[in-house]
Amino acid sequence: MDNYHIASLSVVNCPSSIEKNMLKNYFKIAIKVLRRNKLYTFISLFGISFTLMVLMLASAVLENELGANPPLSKKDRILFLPSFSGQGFEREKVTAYDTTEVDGVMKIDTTVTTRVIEGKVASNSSSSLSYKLYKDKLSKMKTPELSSVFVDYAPLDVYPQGQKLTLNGNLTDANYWKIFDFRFKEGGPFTREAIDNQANVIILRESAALKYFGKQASYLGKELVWGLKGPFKVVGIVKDASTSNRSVMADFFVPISWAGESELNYNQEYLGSCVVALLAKEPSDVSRMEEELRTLESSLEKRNDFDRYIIHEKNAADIYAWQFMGTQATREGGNFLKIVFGVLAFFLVIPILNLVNLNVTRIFERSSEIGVRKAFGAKTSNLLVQFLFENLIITFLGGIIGIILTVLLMNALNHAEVFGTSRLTFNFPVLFISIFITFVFGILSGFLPAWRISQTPVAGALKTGKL
Amino acid sequence: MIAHYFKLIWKRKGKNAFLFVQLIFVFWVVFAVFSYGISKFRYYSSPLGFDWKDMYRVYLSINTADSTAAGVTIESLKHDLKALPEIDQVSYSVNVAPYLGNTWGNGNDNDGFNFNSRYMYADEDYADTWKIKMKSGRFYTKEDLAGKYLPVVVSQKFVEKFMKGKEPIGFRFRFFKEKEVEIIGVAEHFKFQGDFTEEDPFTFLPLTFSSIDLYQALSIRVKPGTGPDVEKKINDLVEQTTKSSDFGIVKIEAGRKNTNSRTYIPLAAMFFLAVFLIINISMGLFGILRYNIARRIPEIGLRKAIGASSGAIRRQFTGEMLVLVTLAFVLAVIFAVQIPFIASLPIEKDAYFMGMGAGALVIFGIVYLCSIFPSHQAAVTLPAKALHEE
Repeated sequence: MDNYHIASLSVVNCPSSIEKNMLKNYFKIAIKVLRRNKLYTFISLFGISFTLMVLMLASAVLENELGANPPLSKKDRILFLPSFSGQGFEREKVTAYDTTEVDGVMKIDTTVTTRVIEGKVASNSSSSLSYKLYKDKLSKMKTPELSSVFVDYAPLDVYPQGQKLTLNGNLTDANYWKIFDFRFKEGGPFTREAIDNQANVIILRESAALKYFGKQASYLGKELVWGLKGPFKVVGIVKDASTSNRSVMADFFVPISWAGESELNYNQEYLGSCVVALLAKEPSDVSRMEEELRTLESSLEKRNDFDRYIIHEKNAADIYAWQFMGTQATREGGNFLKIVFGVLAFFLVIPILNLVNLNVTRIFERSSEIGVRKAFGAKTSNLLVQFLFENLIITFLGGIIGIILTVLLMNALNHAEVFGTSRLTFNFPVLFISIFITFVFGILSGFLPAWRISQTPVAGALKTGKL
Repeated sequence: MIAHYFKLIWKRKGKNAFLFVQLIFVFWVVFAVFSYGISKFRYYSSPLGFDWKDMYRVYLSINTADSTAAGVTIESLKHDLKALPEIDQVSYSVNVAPYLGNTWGNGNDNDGFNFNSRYMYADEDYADTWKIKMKSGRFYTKEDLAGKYLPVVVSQKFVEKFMKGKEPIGFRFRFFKEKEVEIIGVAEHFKFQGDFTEEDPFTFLPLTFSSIDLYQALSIRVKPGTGPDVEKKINDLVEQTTKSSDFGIVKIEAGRKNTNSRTYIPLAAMFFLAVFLIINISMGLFGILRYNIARRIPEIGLRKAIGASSGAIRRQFTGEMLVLVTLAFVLAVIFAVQIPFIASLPIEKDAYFMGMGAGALVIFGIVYLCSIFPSHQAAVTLPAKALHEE
């Protein structure tokens, strides 16, 4: 029963000794304890490192998708307008009877009027916005600093080496490149002239250029053939984005003047296939832009039997959440994050309970040490700090393993393109979040056992423990 | 005996509380994961009713401003495609196809016949192209269009759901307010929204030149073993004939992979998490049991000294664990069993209860396995040694 014996007990300095020395001693003891019982160390480390890996991966996905990284560095000031609805209300026929006496004969006059039942939606047409709506109304808004219109879905099949390659295009205006801060590997954004003159120019995403042209030192000036539209000259190469936001994740970009009239404006005036992005001066101005949108939609001229128009605005988080929940009319970014954090918290409960349980059970292993320390005058708070510190050390060991596992898993996920073409990166914010999570996990799982240990009565501890 | 175990557990309630709460949480997690998994697996194992191999879909945008010219384009495109040696069969339809995410739906209760069905317009070669198996009747042909009623084909699911006790073949109803149709065939299945989805009732309506703007997509079956080069050929032919580069070719296999990945990636992630939690829990449980048993050596020694057999000791410890896990199970079930009645779940009730059963089985098995080895250690303790410890 060698579990009972504490192979080497360091007699710790009395509480009055300097802090630095104490932590050093705690550290030494912690390492000794870890090495003493390898099975329990393995169980603890396995639980900690895997739990932290899951949390780190989740936070990395969220940070990559929703963090303020290029090209969405200004995401707190951006509102996307991806969809627009026209609604027609229910109508009922109201028949009014009017009796008059004409020449002594009763005559009944019936007048039929159509009454619109306010709020009862009978028909609903939704799609993206029309270019006309942007040109005539949205571009003239007062609160945004900048606004941009683009068509973010234009798939193109090309056959560079006889093999098919499907690229998704984004047809942009000039402001697009001011709102979204793409990092250019070479070249630069479209000029206003290129857009106005329908120039045959194209900007490619780095990975798309690699797939189309193969590895080249420079892609500038090369030509990509877009079916019957002819060859397009490469004027810029942008770096791959880590977000999957559909407004910025295209493989290639061309001037919006290349979009066909049938794409820009459907026959119902305000409906089309354009997305509009509005940039506020300050993050706090976003709500003012929303207010201006409300005024704008009610001032739109009613057409095609529609009684109400709604512009559905979304921020970056809402756009991301839309893939999983809600409709075009709802903004679920906040709810989505609540659910994600709820699930993660629930997930965290089990490993923490497991660790607490294991630690609490192992208290008696240390009882002789505690007894000696208490007998020599250590305060309860000293012991509490010591055991908490010990738990933090093992948690950080687990955290380091967790980070290594996360990076390995991320590479595997990127390689298998599980998240489509967006790339996960373990950047500085993710590292910072990971350290924070590790710390919180260490405190949460260590506090109760440490508290219990520190409360052990001296006499009992000395009696049970074998030195 | 069990009452006695219960007493022992209660005596050590402070130490068992964490284990207890933890077990409840684990039960909830495995219930959720197993029922979701079972529900998805059942969908996956139900037949598709068509064959997705060697299929391509071309999304078209034919200029229909001049309907006569458009008709000529449509006819010649199909003719030219069929002439390619690699191509087996070609069919026009609206932009609804297996695995591609688009659905059209319609339902009404005109004339007292209540239905709600997914549908598509497809030409007479659709069943042949997708190898749709018929249960009874036949798929419509060009000749059928001459009749007074529009011939349609429904899926068996449609018959089961809306036509209990009625003979489907020859049944007439109004699909749209002004469109009276006659069922001339029943397809076995048409689970077109993905392998992991529930099959919805489906109706095929014939595609005709009278609504030329509905010629939105082509389904192309190529001969088995055809390489990807055929895409380039199709691409060139469509570009020449429609005089537009505004179209797209999708290999159905790629669409299938893409659609299914939306189910199996979350499913794989959930199972990965559940497996990790179960391993974590079982290792923790094992460690805790070993410690607890080591601490109770004096108790074991005493029992042995007064004549308890090794088997009795072993039974005591595994028994104690099983009583504890049963208590946790009961409490977990009391909450879990109510969920399908108060909230609408994305899974069916029977799959949910099956998942609960399967999950419970796994946890009970694991707890039992984890308690065997430490109990065995306890059982082989020599009374002399154990009593000496005290």
